[in-house]
Amino acid sequence: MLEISGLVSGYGRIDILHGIDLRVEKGEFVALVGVNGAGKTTLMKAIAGLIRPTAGRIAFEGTEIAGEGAERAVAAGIALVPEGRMVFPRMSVWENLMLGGVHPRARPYRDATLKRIFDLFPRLAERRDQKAATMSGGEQQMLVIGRGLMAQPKLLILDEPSLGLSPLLVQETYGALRKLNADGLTILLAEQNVKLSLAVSNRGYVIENGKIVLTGASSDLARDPATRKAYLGRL
Amino acid sequence: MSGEVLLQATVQGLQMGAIYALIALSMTLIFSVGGLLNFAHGDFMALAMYGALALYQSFALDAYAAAPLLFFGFFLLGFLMFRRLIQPVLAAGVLAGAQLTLGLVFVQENFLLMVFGGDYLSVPTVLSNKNLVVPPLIMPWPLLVGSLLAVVLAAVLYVVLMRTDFGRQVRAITQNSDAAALMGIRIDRIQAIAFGIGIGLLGLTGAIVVAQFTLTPAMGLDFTLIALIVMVIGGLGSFAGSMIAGAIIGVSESLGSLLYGGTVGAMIPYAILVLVLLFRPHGLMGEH
Amino acid sequence: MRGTPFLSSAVLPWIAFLAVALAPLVMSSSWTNMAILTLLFIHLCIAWNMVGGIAGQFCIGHSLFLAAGAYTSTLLSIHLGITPWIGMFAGAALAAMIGVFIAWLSFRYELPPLSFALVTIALAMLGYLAISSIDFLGASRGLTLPVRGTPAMYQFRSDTTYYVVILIHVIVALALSMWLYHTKIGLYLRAVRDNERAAHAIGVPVLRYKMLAMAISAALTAFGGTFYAQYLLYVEPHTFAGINIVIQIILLTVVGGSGTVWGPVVGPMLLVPTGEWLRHSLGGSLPGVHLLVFGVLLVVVIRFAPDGLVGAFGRARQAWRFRHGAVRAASR
Repeated sequence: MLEISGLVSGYGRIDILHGIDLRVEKGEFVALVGVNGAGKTTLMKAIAGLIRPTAGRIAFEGTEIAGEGAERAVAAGIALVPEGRMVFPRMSVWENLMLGGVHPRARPYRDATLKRIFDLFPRLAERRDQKAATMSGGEQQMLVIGRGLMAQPKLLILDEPSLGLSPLLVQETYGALRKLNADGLTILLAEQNVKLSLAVSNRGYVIENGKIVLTGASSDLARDPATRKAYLGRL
Repeated sequence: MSGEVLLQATVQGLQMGAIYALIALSMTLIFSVGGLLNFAHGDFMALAMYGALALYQSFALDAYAAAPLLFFGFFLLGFLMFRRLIQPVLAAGVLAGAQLTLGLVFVQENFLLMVFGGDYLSVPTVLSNKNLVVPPLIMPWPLLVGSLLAVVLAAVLYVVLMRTDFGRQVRAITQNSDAAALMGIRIDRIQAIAFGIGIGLLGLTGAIVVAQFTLTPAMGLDFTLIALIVMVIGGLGSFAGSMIAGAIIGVSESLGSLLYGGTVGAMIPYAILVLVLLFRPHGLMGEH
Repeated sequence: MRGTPFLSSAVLPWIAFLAVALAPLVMSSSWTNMAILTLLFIHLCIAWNMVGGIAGQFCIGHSLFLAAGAYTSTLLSIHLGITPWIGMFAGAALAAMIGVFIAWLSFRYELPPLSFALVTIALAMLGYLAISSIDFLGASRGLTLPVRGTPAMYQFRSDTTYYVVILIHVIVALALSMWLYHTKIGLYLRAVRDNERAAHAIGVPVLRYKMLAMAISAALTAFGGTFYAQYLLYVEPHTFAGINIVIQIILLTVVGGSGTVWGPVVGPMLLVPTGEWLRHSLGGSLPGVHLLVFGVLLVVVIRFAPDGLVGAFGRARQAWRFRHGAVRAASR
């Protein structure tokens, strides 16, 4: 479904990614693990169309979308739940969600999806009219996942959803993601938390200094001492 | 100074304040979503007023009837201007955009001077020179209708911004433009439409208040400055703030002129601006 | 090899400028008036550029400084008979004090650039309105200077002498501007312009340098004000204290290239004569059409060269050099 080859990208003259190859098949739950600064966020932003890569290809369902912008990515069916959540602070939960579904592709299904999301995250339903800025980190995380889902994505990508969350909330969030994947949503998850992300995913990639250094089935990666070495080596 | 005269001045100030508030709101829209400080804002309104004059002279069309026409015309003008002229310049920075609008001030004022001459002009309308007498007040109809329509338009703008999808997109862009992009919102298109609406509103406002003012080519800059003051004092992006600030500026200007003369009256808004910028930079109700 | 580009960039413009500037002295006197106006604007633009361009403070309050210079020297001349040659220093001192006050305000209250611009507009308008209503300052009628006719009282019989005076002003201003730009102070100011917090963090005495730039800028503007008052023999608020002249100064500087040394020279040098020429050829048939064309020109330049003509020229020269160098390298 998602095919990335030789991706080079960065900010200004500085390249963060030095030739990434990555694949996500339909229905998979793929994890991308790496430390801070390894390039996870840059890669997520490039896939979502927020930054334009300098070289390489990003093909989604066969069509090339690299460098075409965020609107193109959403139109194709990719939704990014960004690092730091990025809620619309002075808008309510309901308004944030409505904005998630504002693209013409998602608009016909807005009301139905809204109901589904409130069922999936009852706490959001309770806080329907609350301003997003006043919610806790965990609630905001739920909100932005819901907002991402409103876009009717074929592929949901998440950048560090567990950051700043209590272990209980992390479990809740991951539980929701597992359920969504079981219902058929393809997920690409970028995380620093190696253990949890490999536990919940089928396959994984380990990224270090802008390159993929390891890949394989998540259970294999979790046991592989090389994973821990690549990961801890940077600390 | 009798109470009646004071009351009269206060009411007049409130009515002018409503008009100021509407101009400030359109400026806020352009500033917060388009990222442009539009020094030529008042000049667009002046252009609309002269446009109403021209329509009257050519087609005997009353200004109030011409208002919707002017709205659409100015919407288009604003939209195209943003796309072709302003957006490319904004890529070089907010300051460059503001400087461009300074150039537009020059262009518009001299365009009006060239076409209409420098004499003071006025536009006859159905309401001109008629008063509504509600003792002890004598209220000129143009100002009364103008201010009421201003309040209505402000309310419409509020509803559009708060309750429609378009309005939500506009607000999303001002609150977090990266997140807005992630929603698939086409930011530059929304910006252009918002700019068009802002300028269109000026066209509309110009038509509905033209009966109250005497036209002169350089009048635009005064409106721009007043709108800036109201916008800043009210706190960017706050509707209630702008309405209250408009009332404050309108009334203080009116009472100041009455009690201390026209020049002092004109000075009060600027003095208030300086004080607010120094001591309460977020304005009365601002969130930024 | 490295020395040559520097030399050409420093010396060549001076030579070109002096050649153009000295020309009116040998040309017919019908051009002198326009030349005086051009140099006056160059002077005012250089002064504004110190604050607006180099220090990055978008200040719209320079009408206060212009008026301070013009009105102080004029009032001293009218009421105390003091020659404007001395009076202009009093005016400059007053202007510098006002400028330093404004700089202090912006620092003390941590005004972001937009607020700073707005405060200066408000102060300028307050100044304009105040002058327009105070009789001692001539109110809106203005003040007429008594004709004394002697150079000792800063009044000359021939326009050419006025021209020489303003030329000297410009040379001084230009020298000061280059000094400001190329020395450590200029570097600090530009650091403050680009990132005030960072500059402050590395120990740049931000307030002191802002005040210095503002004081010099204000004083120079005031000198220009006195000159203009002596040239017109008449001061009134609309010309000397109004915002319109500041807008013109800003536009001319921006078109030339704000923040550069030669931008404020190039802008007026090209556009003021153009404006005057337009007025002679078109102004008769339609009033204001020359200013309209002028305004359109400004908008076009800002649209296509937002960093000004100097910036555009610099980029063109880079591109030419790049191609030239590439061709030479390829042909080796």
